[in-house]
Amino acid sequence: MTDAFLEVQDLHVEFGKRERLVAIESVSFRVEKGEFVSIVGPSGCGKTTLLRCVGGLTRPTSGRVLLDQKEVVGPPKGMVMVFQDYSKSLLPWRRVLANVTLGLESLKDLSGSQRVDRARRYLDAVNIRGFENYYPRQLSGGMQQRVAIARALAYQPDVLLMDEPFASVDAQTRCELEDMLQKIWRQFGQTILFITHDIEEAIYLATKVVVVSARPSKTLDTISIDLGPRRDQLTTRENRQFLELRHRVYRAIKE
Amino acid sequence: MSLTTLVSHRAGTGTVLLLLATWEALSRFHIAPSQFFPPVTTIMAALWSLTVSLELVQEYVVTLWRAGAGFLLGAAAAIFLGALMGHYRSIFNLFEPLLEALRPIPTVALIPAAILLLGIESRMKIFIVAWACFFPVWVNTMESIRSVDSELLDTARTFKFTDPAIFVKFLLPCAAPGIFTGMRISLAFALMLSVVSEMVAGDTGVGHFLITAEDAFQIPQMYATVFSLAGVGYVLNWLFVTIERRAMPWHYGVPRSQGFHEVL
Repeated sequence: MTDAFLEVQDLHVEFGKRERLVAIESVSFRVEKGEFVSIVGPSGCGKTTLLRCVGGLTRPTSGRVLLDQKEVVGPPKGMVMVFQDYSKSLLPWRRVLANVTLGLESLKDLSGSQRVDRARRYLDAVNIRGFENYYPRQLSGGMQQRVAIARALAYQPDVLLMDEPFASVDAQTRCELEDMLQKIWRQFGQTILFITHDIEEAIYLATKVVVVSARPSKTLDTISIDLGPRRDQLTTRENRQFLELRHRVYRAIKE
Repeated sequence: MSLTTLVSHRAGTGTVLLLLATWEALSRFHIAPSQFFPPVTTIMAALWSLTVSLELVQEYVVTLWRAGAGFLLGAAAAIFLGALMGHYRSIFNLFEPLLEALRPIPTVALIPAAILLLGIESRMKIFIVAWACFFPVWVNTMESIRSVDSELLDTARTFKFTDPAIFVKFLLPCAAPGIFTGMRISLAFALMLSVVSEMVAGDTGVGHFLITAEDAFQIPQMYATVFSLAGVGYVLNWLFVTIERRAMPWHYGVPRSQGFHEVL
């Protein structure tokens, strides 16, 4: 078998000093370059812990994560995470533009004006125009999350990790953000790992869905999604194949 | 401004004026011994002549320079140590027992020792002020840094920032409101301890002036000095709050003109 771009091998995570809590029992899956992988499972099943291990923010108790055949021991270059709670992740003392250029400040080879240009480009890609000089708290939740996404994108990572990024916004905004993300993925081609508890969202966005059980989590199923590249909120979700996939994922979780 | 706000502002000033008027009456009608309790108007007249003759102004230059130097030294050390202790458990464990043992000591109790070791002039006074200013800023800095949300730190790490950059770009700005609060508390201590240390030893400064006035039985001048301290302290606090508001616009509310928009 050829080496995958990103591989999770027998990940096992336990917490606690006296009483050991097993968050993740055994999770494994492979991700090819440019894939959009959704990780779906019931609430509290350790999906965030899983993503943190992939992102190098948490060390697993055993098992490992390989990015381009190299083991992940800390946040790897070329990988950036977008967090669920944007209000705690955006810097409140910086305006929108300065928040987006934040990620570029650890990159040595860009000048100030280059950073600003890049930031503007990605703010445009997430449909935020004219709000560069606003403070984050002056924006709505959906807009704040777009800024957080623009910030991650501006870094131009090979891999984008997203931890339930649309969970804290209302349903209609969520649909808009899903389509925005799809458009960006088609345009820029990153490898994306997307965590959600929303089964339909997982299937709608992804080329592959990894289903994870409740705690202590195990990989239940890895499903390829062939719904085609052009997806639409109305027609795709009524598609026969979509409904079958939804059925399959739901059943897998319920068992 | 609403009627209630207007009334409460006026009421506040009114309380002070009422108090002063009562004082004036008590003194003028000899209900209180007017030798030791001169009328407010006499005190104000003394204050005026002291200011105009620049006598008191000269002393304030000295006192405020000591207070300022001590404040900056104490606050700088406190922010440095507090930030490190708030972020690194090992540094916290190293210094916390010592500092918590020193903190309850009233600073004035250290003045005799300070005189023996540092003399009776500015060096001793700046040290005493720095000591007093250290603790409020240290506690506030440490707790503010400690309570920074973990999501913010995760953000810093996912963007691969090094530790020094994390302090400068994430931790300190996030802790800034708490740090400023600590500094505002210390500001009052700075003036206080500068004056007190001058009352105990040395021959310059407002504190020394106060003691001299009492010794020479210049009672109105003595009270005038006390009044001036209230005024100077008030102005210093007001200046500091103004700086605070300017330094942290995101925290104190942005101008209404920018409004709030919902796109899409």
